[in-house]
Amino acid sequence: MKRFSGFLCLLLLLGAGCGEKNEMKEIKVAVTPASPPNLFEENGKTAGIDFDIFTAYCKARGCQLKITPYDWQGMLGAVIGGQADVAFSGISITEERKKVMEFSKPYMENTWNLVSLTKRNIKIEKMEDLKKYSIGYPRGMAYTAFIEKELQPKGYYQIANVKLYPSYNEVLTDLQNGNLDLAFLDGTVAAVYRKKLPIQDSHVFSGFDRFGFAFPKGSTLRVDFDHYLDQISGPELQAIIDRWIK
Amino acid sequence: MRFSGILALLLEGAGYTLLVTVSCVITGLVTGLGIVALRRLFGKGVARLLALYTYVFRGIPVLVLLFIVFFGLPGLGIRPSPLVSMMLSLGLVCGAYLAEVFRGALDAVDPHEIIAAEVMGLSRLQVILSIEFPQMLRLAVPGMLNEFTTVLKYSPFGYTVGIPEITKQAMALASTTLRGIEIYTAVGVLYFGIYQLLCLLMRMIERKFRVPGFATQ
Repeated sequence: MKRFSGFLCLLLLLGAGCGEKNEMKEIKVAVTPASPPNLFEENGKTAGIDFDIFTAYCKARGCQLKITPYDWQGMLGAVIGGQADVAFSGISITEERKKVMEFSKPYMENTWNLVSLTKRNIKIEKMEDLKKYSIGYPRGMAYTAFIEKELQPKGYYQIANVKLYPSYNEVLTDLQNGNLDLAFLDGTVAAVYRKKLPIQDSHVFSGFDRFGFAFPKGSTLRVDFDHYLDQISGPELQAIIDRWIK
Repeated sequence: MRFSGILALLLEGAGYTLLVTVSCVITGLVTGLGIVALRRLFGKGVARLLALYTYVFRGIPVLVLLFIVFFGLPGLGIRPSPLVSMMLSLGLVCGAYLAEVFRGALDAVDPHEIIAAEVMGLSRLQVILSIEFPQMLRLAVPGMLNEFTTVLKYSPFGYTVGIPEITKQAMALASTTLRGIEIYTAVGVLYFGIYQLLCLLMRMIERKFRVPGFATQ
């Protein structure tokens, strides 16, 4: 019977608990571990800025994290559907997302970098020059709204000319293969890839993007987490971020 | 990170891929066989209902169905686990396809054998289980293997609902190591290995239902 119930546990896979009793409050976390340095896996273990911030919060409040990795859509879906209590992986706060989920206060200012191969040495001095190049980034990113609202009306770039990819991996591969002139990267992501690839910033947009932790609508956890962010904001928070970026 | 470490993590994902594939294949087999048997046992009303099922489930994309089951059902108070969600989406779609594969194979069973069996006094269920199904399964092997490989290749949807299968490991590893080509080559090899396992399973089914001296080519 014991073996059978173990088998059932396996079958139900991440199903409700399987008789485990945790004295500490368990928080269900949804992540996408392909977003260095905010959230990634190191030798199979979750790591990154967002993970460190939330782990510190949990340590202060005496709770336990139960982390489930999803793909990007799945992660957002899990927060909306209530399968997860919180999601974090460098999630940009946008008006569209705010309609279906709640965000913590922003914990990080993010830049958007257009990067090119160092050997191409593309520098965007005037926005009018943008037209000459192809721009690519992963599907579902906030850049689309940015181009539609900020660049297209001024005639700097047409959204129809953008190349979309499944993830940053493919974007950077195509950039290296010479099929793409400029890749749109998060400032944080660019910082990671600059160490490993011969790329440079061609232009940096700032002041448009901030990261937040995402919670289901009406979450009490969010209220408490915001209190915590207030407490550590300043040097303490910056120290966590710098640990991964510098 | 060394390549052996990468391979170990990918293998860990392969276990989940196999789990998802086998669970969905079993769900599909049970559903497919159930549909065929019910269609044979009951009248036109039931057959029409089952035809509607195959019609609908063959038409809905797996990802859409998965979203409805995993993210939609909780709204009605039902909370299926990730694996159960996969079985209720990919598994049921697989069942609809298999039902059609079986239908074709069943038509190829000689009707005289069925009449002979009925004359011998076998009940309807006995005819299905001992005359029709064994022959049908033998004839359905190529179609079934096709369907099973489709299930295998749809299994990365498991990552959307939080099952850490091969694709998840590959994406996570590629984002930090930037060794995409090596990683995805290894992923290809692993999928091929699992495909071989499925072939082996089919060969076992084939052997089980083989009639000595008949259609052995």
